[in-house]
Amino acid sequence: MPGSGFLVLLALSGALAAPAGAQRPGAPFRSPKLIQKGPIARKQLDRIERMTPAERKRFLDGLPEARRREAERRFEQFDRMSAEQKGRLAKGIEQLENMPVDKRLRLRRLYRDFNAIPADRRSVLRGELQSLRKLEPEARAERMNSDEFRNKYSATEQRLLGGLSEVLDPDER
Amino acid sequence: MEPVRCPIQNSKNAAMLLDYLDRRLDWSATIEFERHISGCAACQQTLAAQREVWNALDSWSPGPVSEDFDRRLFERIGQEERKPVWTRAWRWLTTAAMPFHFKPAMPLAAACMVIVAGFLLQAPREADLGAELKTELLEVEQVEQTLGDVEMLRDLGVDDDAGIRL
Repeated sequence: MPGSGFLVLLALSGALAAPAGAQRPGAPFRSPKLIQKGPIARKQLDRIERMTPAERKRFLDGLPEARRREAERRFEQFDRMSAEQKGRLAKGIEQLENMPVDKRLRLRRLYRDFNAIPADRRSVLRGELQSLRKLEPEARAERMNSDEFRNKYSATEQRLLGGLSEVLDPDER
Repeated sequence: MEPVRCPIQNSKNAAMLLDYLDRRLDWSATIEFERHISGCAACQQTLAAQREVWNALDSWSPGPVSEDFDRRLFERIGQEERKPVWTRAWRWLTTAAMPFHFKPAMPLAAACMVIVAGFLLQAPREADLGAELKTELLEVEQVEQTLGDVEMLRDLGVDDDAGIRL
């Protein structure tokens, strides 16, 4: 058949030409999907979850040293999380992205101050924050005005706990 | 860092709004910009409108194929096959109407065009490389920021079922 010769040549030329967009060896990291607008953080979280070890290595290799160490540490942290924990954090990520700007700004500032506190105190504050978040606003205010609370935490720590528990007020109790 | 000038009122700063929406600003620039937004109604409106558009696009899904699509397709195929012989012969002649001695060369010429097209696709133009690089950098920054946000929420113990009230 005359057409079969054409098809064979077409198939050969298709095999010779690499598919457009294929990853070249040694090429910088390229995420497998196009960037999409919209809930970016949630999509990025899914992307992080789906990254193969090779893709993750290419991503890290493209970063400057300090950023690479930081990203590596956070990837390891992410890997240690259970599926349930990842699911809950995904919800938190979405809510963070939809937060009013002033609230998000306040949260980031509070977190920056939170990180300045020594690690051993941070774990204590984290526990207290989780307890405070479980309380209704009135009960929370009562707790924070108590002598025990004021004696246990410094002024800075009290400010942080008050601010964080207000910004991270739970959707459900 | 200097206070941010409103990107709505100052066109030179317009790119900053887009960079913020695409999460391309670094941490300190993000904080400064969000400080501006917290007091700027115009920027808040613009951001809210942009988010509405994205949410609408994300919630859109294409309409389903009609139930009788297959039936109509096969009907149409059948119609073509039932056309008179002379109609089909005329179509064959007009589509294959070329001098007989060119015919063997046509498949080879078509294959050569495909090979050339393949090389062109494999070697992106300079402008495309620049756009690709920007896309890659944006993706890297977005991944880094998301990892940072995950760490923040986890550090603050927001990995329970309660979520956050918006």
